[in-house]
Amino acid sequence: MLKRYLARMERVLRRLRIDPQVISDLLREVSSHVQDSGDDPIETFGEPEAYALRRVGVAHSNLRTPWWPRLISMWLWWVAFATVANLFWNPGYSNRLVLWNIILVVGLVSSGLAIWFRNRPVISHKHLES
Amino acid sequence: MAQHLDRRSQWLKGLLDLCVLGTLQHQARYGYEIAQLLTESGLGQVKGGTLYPVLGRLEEAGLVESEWRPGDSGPNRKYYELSQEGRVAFTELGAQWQTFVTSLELLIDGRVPT
Repeated sequence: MLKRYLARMERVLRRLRIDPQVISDLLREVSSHVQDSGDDPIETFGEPEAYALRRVGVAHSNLRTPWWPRLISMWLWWVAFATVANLFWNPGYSNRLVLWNIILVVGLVSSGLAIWFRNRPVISHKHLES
Repeated sequence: MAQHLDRRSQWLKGLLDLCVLGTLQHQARYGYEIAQLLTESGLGQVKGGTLYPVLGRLEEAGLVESEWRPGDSGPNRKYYELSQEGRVAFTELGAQWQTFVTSLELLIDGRVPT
């Protein structure tokens, strides 16, 4: 649990191009506290990405959801729409079960991406450039 | 009860810098020790996610200094101690807080100057 927490924190700090010495210090700080207290790191420090940002003084508004899951999600919905349109406009090929399965799969994948990336934001380029 | 704790936590947020400086006035301490001391002092629980950014800010401002020391049986620990500047700031903040509390007590006791 702690190892994964530190890895997620480190990823964000590296993206922010924080000095490796500072990153190491921040990770040791969390590790030392968790080992002393025996607490769950998320319970004590919050989500690693958010904590890493707070610790180095970056505003939460610099967080963005990565663009590619949104693109994949949009593309999947477009495929679903095209398939549905195709099924309706080709009278010889109408299979409602296939149609609903496609909608279900697209919905599940999109929701999965949304949930997975909700707590794994990236830092906006605006901040990285400054 | 929850409302009471919320209010206490709001107050503590505004005073955390002073409280943390206060825990360091006699000796160097590590983060978890500071958190425990604040809890034992009756100031409520201060989580690591709140405490360390404050310590970092105080360090950046030059009010505290830190160094890693090997733990006796546990992990290595980062000890914080007041710098000379920190001692001056703590004395000033303490005096300001005393003035504020005195005014507040007058208000609560209904002894407001008319």
